[in-house]
Amino acid sequence: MTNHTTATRLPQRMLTTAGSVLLAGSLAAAMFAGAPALAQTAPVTAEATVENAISLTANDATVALTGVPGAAATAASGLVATSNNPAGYNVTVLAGAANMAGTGTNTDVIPVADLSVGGAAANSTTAATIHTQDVKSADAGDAIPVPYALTMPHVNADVYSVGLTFTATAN
Amino acid sequence: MSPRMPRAIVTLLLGLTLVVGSAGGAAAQQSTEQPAVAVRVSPAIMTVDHDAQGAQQRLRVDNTGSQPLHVVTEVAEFTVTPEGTTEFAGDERLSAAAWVSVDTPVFDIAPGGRRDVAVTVDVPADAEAGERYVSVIFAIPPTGSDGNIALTHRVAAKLYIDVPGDPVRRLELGALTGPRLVDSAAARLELTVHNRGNIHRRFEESTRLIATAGEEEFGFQNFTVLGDSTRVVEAIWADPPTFCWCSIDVETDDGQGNLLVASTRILMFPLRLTLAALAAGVGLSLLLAARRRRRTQRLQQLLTQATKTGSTPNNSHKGWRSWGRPGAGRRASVRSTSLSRRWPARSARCRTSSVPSPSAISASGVSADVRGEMRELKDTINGKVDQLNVFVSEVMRVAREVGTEGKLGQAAASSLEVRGVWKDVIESMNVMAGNLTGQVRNIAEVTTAVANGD
Repeated sequence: MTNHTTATRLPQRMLTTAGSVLLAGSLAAAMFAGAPALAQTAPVTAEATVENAISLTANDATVALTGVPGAAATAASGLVATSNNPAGYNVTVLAGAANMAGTGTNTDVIPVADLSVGGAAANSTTAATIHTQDVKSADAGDAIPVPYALTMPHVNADVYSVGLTFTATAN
Repeated sequence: MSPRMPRAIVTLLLGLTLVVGSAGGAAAQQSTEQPAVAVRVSPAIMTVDHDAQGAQQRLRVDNTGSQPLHVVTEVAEFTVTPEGTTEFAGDERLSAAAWVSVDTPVFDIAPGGRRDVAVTVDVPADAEAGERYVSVIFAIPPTGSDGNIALTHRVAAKLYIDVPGDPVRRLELGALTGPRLVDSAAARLELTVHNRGNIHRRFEESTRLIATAGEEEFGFQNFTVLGDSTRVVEAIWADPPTFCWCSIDVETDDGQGNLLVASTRILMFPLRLTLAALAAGVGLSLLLAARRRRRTQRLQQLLTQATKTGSTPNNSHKGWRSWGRPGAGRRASVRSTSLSRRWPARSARCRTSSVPSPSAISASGVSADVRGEMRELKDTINGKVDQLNVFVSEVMRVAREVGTEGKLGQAAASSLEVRGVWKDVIESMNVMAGNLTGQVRNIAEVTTAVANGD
């Protein structure tokens, strides 16, 4: 009996083992064979749309120039411009008035053309270009130094003000 | 042991204090270096297609800084100067400022925040086909009152608005200009491009304008020329050839399938190098002439000394040709004795052999009838005189034919048996004649080409 039972179980184990091997093999074959078939029937297209952009970063919102008459007052500031436009960009500066005006009843003025901004004389009618380039910027942007210089004229002691507008535009 | 513990704790606390203090200082410093304004606008340039119901586009504004931004929006017309600068002023004919509006003219953006601004474009039904231009400007007015110069920062987006219909595409190439003569440096060219149509043309990256000079090519800058506007763009020929009468062409199409060509010519010639070479040649010639003159003077002194030594006071002025005359036997004996004593004939012959001088001796040589060592000296001198006669006549021939008669390509005979500095003179003269021939022929070719208008 015992021998008969043993003889009966051996083929069952063999069948179970063989069945497991066949099942695992079939699944593996299906996995390896099925993946390319799936890729061929359903292709995936990756798209990345990069818009052109332009950005401007300014170190300062105001600049102060102080000095006695005859002295050359200077200040340093800077911009960082970034653009991925293939034709580059330009940065201009335009003065808001022809003169730097004093306060209160003071009638003295300082011509804005005396003010040097980024190496160019400030102008209230035509924007002065302080930077231009015909290629895109560096990844982290292009540093644009903007030095200010003004030889203080012989005017009444006062605070003389003017507004400057920097504009960055893609070419 | 117990006294050390407080000391260690104090040391640890001091270290922690220093670390925390430095970190706080760095943080404080970093906060002071934050930019006052940092703003990004996208897209920077946008083409808006026509929509009968009114096209609505989006412009995105990002505050990329750490300060809140107060943004004021403005719609403005713009033009581009020939040099490429954008000016926010007016050609009303191509302006679309009246067609465009934004939904939020004024808004605030927190640090790191974003705002999408809706731009509505309404094209009139009777608008002429083509393109119109407008810009939407985002301005950040100054904050604070620390300084006397208030700074406003603006970033502008450009909109090219398409009006349906048949646009006019007509490009023209103006003058292609550059230096007439380039002397061993990069050549800078300028091209004027007129857009007579009413739709923009973009020349950038793979569509850049290319200048061709023979086998070489170099590109113009990236640029866009708007409708009814002109641009002046430049190209740098970084590595032109040393010698070239170069024809440079730029080709493109006019937008209607017709070929446009702009051309110019540039003469590439190393002028400074040539002048330096000529100056060096002249200097070398002067040096050789001075050296020849010094040698002549020295030999003349030697001959004068020899004449004086071999002459009696009565006939010293007659020189070498008086030797051996009939009835001069005693004087000849005295001369011979004196010459042998004060200037040995062998020594004189040796010097004469190595230092010839064409101007110190008569062209026909020594004709006196002498004997012994004086005869050997006479023969040596006469041999040198004959050799120098041939040499001088050859040099004079080359100088006359090349310099006076203009027969280029002449050279002194290489069969002349000369050595030392005389050989150098012959070779230098041949080199100079060859250089002069080559340069004159090059200049003649260029001049002929210029005269022919090539």
